[in-house]
Amino acid sequence: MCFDDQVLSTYIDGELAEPWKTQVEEHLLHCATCKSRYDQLQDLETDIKAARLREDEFSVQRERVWQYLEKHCVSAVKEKVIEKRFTFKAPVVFAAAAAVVIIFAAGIFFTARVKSPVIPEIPVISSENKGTASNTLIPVVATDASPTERSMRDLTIEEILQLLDERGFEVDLRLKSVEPLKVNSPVIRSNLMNSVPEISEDAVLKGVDAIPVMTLESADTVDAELEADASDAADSDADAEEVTEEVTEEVTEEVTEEESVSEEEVPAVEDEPEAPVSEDSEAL
Amino acid sequence: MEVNSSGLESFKQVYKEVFPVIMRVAYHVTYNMDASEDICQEAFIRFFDRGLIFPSVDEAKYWLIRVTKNLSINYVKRKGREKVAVDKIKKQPLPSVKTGEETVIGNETCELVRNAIQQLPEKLRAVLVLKEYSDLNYKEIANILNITESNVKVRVHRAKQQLEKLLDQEGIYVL
Repeated sequence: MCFDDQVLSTYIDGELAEPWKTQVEEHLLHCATCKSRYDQLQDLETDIKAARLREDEFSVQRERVWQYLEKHCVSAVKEKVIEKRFTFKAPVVFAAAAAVVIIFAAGIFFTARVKSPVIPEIPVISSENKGTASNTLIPVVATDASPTERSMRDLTIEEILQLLDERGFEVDLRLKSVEPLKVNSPVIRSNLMNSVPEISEDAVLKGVDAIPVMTLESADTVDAELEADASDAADSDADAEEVTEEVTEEVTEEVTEEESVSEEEVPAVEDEPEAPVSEDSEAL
Repeated sequence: MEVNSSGLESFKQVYKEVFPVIMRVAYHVTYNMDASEDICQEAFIRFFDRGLIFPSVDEAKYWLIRVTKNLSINYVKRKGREKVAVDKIKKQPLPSVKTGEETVIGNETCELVRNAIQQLPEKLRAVLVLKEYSDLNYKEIANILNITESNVKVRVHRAKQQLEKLLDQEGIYVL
């Protein structure tokens, strides 16, 4: 029994399974016809294999394609890796932005809640009890009509000073009086009594510097006018009754005016001596 | 070893091992070096861009061979249509499809075999090329072409038979 080309071809391809493979091998040893056909097919196989594209025929293409792939794919992967490290998807960016906004807004909100009471606590103070004699040394009223806060009327000078000190204001408290004051306030007594000098009548005329002034110096937001009614010292001099900054300024102005007037009048008389004479003669 | 087609190391390894195989497939189907170069490049770009995971280098090779075979067949079909169109216009006989590479080879038998393979129908050509130039067995070819092993066996044999006839017609294939 001879084998057809299909079996021989499969045998040549090495794909013929047992037991046919052994049968074919044994048959080819005895059958000249099949052996001849087998040789033909084997030669064909050899020729086909010989036509195989050799490595040296495509070495150029092999290198060229790899260079292209390395440029467009491999390097692109490296760039993608870098991009992935530093880029985020849109939802992430929006979430991050929203988080920043919320944190920022919350920060402003809570900061404002904490700090907002500071401003009404330092209201503008005006003197309302001016001229009235009382034992209260410094009656002050908050002009800032904040309903929630205590008015400055309710505060003692000690509390005001503590308040201002807590807020970081530099408080310079000075007393202006011709006569030593009898101060009942424990604050004044404890803090300022030793520093209050005895002031004579001449001190008023000599200038502001010689007169102790009781002032509150603070930031621009606080315009504090403190007036001390020195009722106990009223006997000595009317000018020294009120120990205020305003009074001090008024006195200073009056002094300067008097000085200027006196200086001007003297030369005026010297320059025009005849005028008053004529006037006097006419009157006479 | 698992192969990630977008992984740099595995991509290099696959390229090194598989490029000769798919280059031969592309060339023996198209018999055009420039076209084969473009096809191999395209196949590897697709391979890379897909980001596929293969259980082994062989599986990656089968995928690349399949893509290369299809690209090559498409090229041949497109080229055939263009030829027909051009021939109708010029009313000239089919020009020689010899490439520069073939001329350089200078091996007459080799040239004849390549010309003969070029004249095989696409179905037979693809199977023969995979069998003879890709070092694949019937089972692997069946897997790549998605046909049965016996179908592969039959096609390979028919391809050889036709090739034998073509070479006989050329008068070169004489024992």
